[in-house]
Amino acid sequence: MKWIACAVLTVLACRGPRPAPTATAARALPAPPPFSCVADRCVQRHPRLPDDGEWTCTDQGGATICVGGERAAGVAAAPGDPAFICGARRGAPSDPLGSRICVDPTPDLPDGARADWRCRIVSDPSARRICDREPGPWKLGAGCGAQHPCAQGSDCVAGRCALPRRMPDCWFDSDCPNHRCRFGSCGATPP
Amino acid sequence: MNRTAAKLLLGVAVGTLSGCRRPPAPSRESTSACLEIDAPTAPVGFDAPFSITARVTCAGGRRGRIAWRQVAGVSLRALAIADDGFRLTGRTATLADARPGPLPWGVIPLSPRTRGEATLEALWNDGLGHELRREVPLAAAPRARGLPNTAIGARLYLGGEGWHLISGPPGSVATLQLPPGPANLLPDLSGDYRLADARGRELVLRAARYDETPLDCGRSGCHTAITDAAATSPMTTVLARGLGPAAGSSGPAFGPGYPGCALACHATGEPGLADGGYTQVASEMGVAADHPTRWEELPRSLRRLGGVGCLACHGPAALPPPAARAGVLRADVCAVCHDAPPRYGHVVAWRDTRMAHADRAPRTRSDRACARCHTTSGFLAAIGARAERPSPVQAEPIGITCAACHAVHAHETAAPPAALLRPPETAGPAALLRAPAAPTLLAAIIADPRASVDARSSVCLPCHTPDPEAPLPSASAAALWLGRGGLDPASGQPLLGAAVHAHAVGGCVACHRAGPEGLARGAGHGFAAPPTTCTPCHAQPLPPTDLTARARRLWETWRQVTGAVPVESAPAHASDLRVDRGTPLGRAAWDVLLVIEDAGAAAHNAPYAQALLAAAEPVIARAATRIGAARK
Repeated sequence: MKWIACAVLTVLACRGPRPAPTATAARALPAPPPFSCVADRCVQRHPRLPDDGEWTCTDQGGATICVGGERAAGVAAAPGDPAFICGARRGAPSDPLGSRICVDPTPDLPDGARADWRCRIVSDPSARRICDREPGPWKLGAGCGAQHPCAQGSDCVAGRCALPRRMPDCWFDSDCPNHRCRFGSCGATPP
Repeated sequence: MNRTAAKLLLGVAVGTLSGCRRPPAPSRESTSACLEIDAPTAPVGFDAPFSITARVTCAGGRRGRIAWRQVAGVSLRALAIADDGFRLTGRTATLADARPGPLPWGVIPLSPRTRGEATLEALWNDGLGHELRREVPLAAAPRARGLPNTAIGARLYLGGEGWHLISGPPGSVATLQLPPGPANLLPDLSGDYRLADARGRELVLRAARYDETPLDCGRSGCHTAITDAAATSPMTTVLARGLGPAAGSSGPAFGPGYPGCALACHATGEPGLADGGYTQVASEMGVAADHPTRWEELPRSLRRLGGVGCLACHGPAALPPPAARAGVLRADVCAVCHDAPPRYGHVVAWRDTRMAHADRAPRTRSDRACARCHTTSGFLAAIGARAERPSPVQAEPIGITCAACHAVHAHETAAPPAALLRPPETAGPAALLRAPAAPTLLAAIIADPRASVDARSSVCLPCHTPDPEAPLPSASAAALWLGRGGLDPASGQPLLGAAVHAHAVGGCVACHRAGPEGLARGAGHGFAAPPTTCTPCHAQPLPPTDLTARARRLWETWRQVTGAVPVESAPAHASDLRVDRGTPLGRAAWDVLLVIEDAGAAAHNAPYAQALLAAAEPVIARAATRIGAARK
């Protein structure tokens, strides 16, 4: 019974180790908000977002990509989350989503095993990050090589899929003239 | 079981702010940490039973007994102790005891003073000289702003009769609790709750968690300027500043132990409730809410709830229906933090002022000319701080409330934002006074640097300065104070006087800063100016004057001369009378009314008041003589 109780407790309140931050993260990352897990689904009720403002986010291939930038009203200033790399969205978007794009290439995961989770962020009514255990090789950080190419928009670097170093600048393909938007950036891949 | 009748000392209120009290003076106790108390952390309801158990975890602690006494708040009832004081039971106050007087229709506003808050003190003694002491806060109800948009998890009490719930959000199992107690509802899911009273009048409550409410008020085309200014306002930044390092120390700037219980007012949400507020989110994130952590190191979700941001006053969820939006102007909104005597007495002091009752007469709310200075919304519209929006709420009297003088969004305040309406010795960075344009009559002297009129008076001037184009002068205190407003009866030229008190530091509040005794903060919102106010500068008491009586005699003579009907109950400026400023007699009457309209004329500027009457008197006397002769 003790073992069962321990296992349940672990599953219900797992707080997985975060992969090492990128070299661009100058400040130390605060501890990740906890996940609550039931079976193969873990929910992070208060996920990291680029800053205190209003954001709409999605997960793509193991990275979190956010669009927004509207300042939070009535909140004292604070620096943004150093895990995110941010840039201006291209053009003059006519939609109300926002004018900034941020990418966290190494978002929080329930147990830190990047290849084992497929996550998404739901934003209604407030942001929650939902991760389902789903092993797969196509994500950032997963091993890669000739037999296992990385997803479009990421490169195979030292045997691991990684994002190229560039400022994110798109949310929709339509933000990119003659290109597709991958991992928040207008890459070189033609449409 | 050893049941002992309790000796409970009830009554003495010594300070509370949602459980925040000054710690008692140290005594022989070693540490109170090993006196553990199991008490309700969430509100228990009005006239509701509660139970508290205690245990002493120090060595040998089970011996001895615990004496209980109530040290703050409204009296708890039916208190009884058992098991040598290790168990205490009782009932909270009734709503009528906690909030005496008639209840407003709709959501009943509840402040720390009126929500049935109480603090008990447990004193353990082992009979061998060892003592342990703990304070235990209790509350009957969560605080409430009186607004129809509210947090889930926070029980609302309703004023009115015959309430019934028409509909709620899908999946909600919330039910309306009905008499014998006050009708109340605990919203359990986000969404709209439609209720109606016995007469079919509907109330739509909008509920949500605080942390699920967007903070996008500053979107382009909406409240951009307010959002910009509010980012650095003392209200927004209070938690960030408090957590910041103190000078020469690594501890919190607001002192050891901060934020502690101050979170109830320095962050959003009600501690102890599942409302998505600061303390609940901290709990969900595994963060100790009351532990001092630098602002920059707080998680995003907590920073969005830290400080007194939009939701702290406007409430969570969606905006209320248009008809209910003016409710945010009520003092009840501020009272959730500033009505916690004796430590925070702002609202208590204000409630006894004439400003708090300025719109009691229906005409003051319905007549636009009166509403300009008798209602908060009318005043804000008159100074251009808010669009003119008549609303059903304004049909109910709310007085000239906090929002009239304080621009909490900070975008309409005099620069710098620390322009305070407080005596200099207690100045702090938080008053956020509005700085409307000077009235026409006083614009020149206000702009004259030689006059050096304290800018903190700006907010008082619009309603204490007569309109020179009005049929009759009204509320002339500021005009007399600065020696302006009079007319030379003969020529019609302005009759100017010396501004003998213009240099008073603080302006109006240099003198008008007294209020109820026993309040640590906020007593100045009583705005009284007792005679002792004068003594620092006037060692001898001011000689009595007959200014008012003399002015009333002249006014009565003028009325008889002109045949004007007497003004019975209302002040002259509210009557249908008018004086013809095109004639010497009319100008003389104007001057007399200036003195009558300022009940404090003798203190504000006795020489000028006397000059006004001296100018008017011969004109009125000559007219009276002529009329008398003609009648003979």
